[in-house]
Amino acid sequence: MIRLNLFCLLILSSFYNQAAQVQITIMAPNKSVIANLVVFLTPIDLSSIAKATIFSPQVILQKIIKQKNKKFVPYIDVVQKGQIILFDNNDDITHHIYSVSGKNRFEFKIKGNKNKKSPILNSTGEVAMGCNIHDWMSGYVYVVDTPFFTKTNTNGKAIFNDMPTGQYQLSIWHPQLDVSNNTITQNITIGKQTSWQITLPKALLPIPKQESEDDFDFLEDY
Amino acid sequence: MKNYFIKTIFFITCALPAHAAEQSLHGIVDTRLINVSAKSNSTSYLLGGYGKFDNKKNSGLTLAQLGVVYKASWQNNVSINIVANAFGNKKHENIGITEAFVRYKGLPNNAGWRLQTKAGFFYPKISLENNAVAWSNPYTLNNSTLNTWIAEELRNTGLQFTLEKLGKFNHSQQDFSLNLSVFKNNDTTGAMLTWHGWTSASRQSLFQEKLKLAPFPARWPGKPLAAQAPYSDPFLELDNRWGAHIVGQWQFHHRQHPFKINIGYYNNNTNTSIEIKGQYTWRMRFVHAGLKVKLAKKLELISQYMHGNTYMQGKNGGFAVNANFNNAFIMLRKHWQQHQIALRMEEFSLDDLDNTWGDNNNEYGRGLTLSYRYRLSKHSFIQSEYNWLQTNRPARWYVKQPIKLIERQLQLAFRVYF
Repeated sequence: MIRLNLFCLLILSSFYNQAAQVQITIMAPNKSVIANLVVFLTPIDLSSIAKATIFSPQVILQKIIKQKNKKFVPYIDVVQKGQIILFDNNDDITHHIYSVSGKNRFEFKIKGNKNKKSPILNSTGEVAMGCNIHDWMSGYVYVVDTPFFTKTNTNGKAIFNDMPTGQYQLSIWHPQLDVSNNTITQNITIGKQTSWQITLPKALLPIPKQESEDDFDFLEDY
Repeated sequence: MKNYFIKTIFFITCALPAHAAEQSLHGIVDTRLINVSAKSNSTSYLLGGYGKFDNKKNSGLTLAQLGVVYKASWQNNVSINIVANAFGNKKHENIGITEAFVRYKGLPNNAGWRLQTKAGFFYPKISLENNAVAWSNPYTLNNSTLNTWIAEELRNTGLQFTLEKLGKFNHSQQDFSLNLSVFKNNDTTGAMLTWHGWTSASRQSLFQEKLKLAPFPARWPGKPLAAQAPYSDPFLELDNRWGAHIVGQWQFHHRQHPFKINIGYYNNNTNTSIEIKGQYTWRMRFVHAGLKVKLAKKLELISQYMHGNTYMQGKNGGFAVNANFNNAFIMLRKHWQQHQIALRMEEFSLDDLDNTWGDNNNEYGRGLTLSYRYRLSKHSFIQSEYNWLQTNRPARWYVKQPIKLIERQLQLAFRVYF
């Protein structure tokens, strides 16, 4: 990820003279901060040459999503179009991972303490994942078509270092964000202003606990 | 029919590429020290008596269950599942298959719909207690009387289709499922329930097993049921007709109080005018309902209810055995760290609706179970349990035993799951 960002920055630095640290703070209607929201910035006025370069990652990078204690860890992640996910099964049992989402559909079994790569995620949007053996397991990946993406930290802040100035569409996504397409967008201009505070119109829906409702380890599908 | 079934499963197993399968073997070993006490010297129902437990007096150390589950699964979501069990009840030891089926478990689509199918020999979806490896009960040692009967006389040989709607892809906390089975090989179901009544055990009938009947007077030579074989064959097809079982389930993954409710109807749809080699066709129909709910942190309630009717008749309709049956239990269980305590109360009855001589099948009973489980390690448990059953069964008069009987049982188990 760092390598990709550096690579993109290298390209971008030849087009933009200024760079800024951008900080976006996202709060619930009751003003509490929210961590692990996907936040991404899509350039609006980029020249076609730069766009072509920036938007085709030369190296296929991967994010790691663990299966640990019969949960997806992290529950949410964000990748750029063209990347893959490495599923790392930390449990000693088999998981049957699947995605139900459009062109990013996939499924495979991973034996205990093994790992497996997803296919290349070439379609933007939500990838809703589950395990066909443990129905309570649930995880999401959001695929974006921009190199500028992150998740809010525990202080509810999305921080983008060395952002080229210009006009962007700011998007906020979370599977439990109870709005159309689970996404909120607004246009921002990075220049004089580098920080924004955004209050969500609604509180997030309850996030699934990813826990079996049974406390016994040796259950079968009866 | 049985041979045909075994051959089919065998050929399917051979036809699937074994090298591509992921194979697994799991199971349970359950050994127990058992002490049974009853005021009269009643014989266990397993040995043809009216005793309600599967163990005799002074059973001592017993292998209550050795269950092994073999599973071979392929990437195309098809798996073969074979469950074998051995039971060491004194004078009634046996080993064999309790389930064998091919299963397809599809993946949900983006709306959350998922289809599953099973073909073979499998349990109908009724019990909310027996959800662990090899149909074992993780909560108590003895099953409720309701599920003891399921284990004794019910098994579907046929097809099962399950359509589920998982809520999670629509941000809903609710799942729904509809489960339909069509089956054969359950034509004598009802004989044991009617003739020995409700029982309490952890025993499961095996594919090849025959069950011993009590020597009630209607079976004496020259009497109405003289043609009845001394053993009932529980998984037998006599009339070549399909039966059906349908179950609907609603599951709500509420954060504080998740619950599951199911309601079902079973009808084996037999033609009741058939008798072959002493085995009669019994019509069996019942409704059942179950509830499992988390009442508070680490406190759960499990309850099941059943109401039905079963009857059989001679070839010319000259006599009949006809009974209504009811059963309900409530179990509360509290678990914390390595501990679990379960308390189960049950009430059950049989109402004899016929006038056949020497065949009084009335019964009324209540039961209480108190069980304590301690987890020694991830895989091993010790569990102690007290079972109390009070039953009123006039048929005991036939064997010169008191009609009203209280039976008690104390068990100490060492269970290993692997």
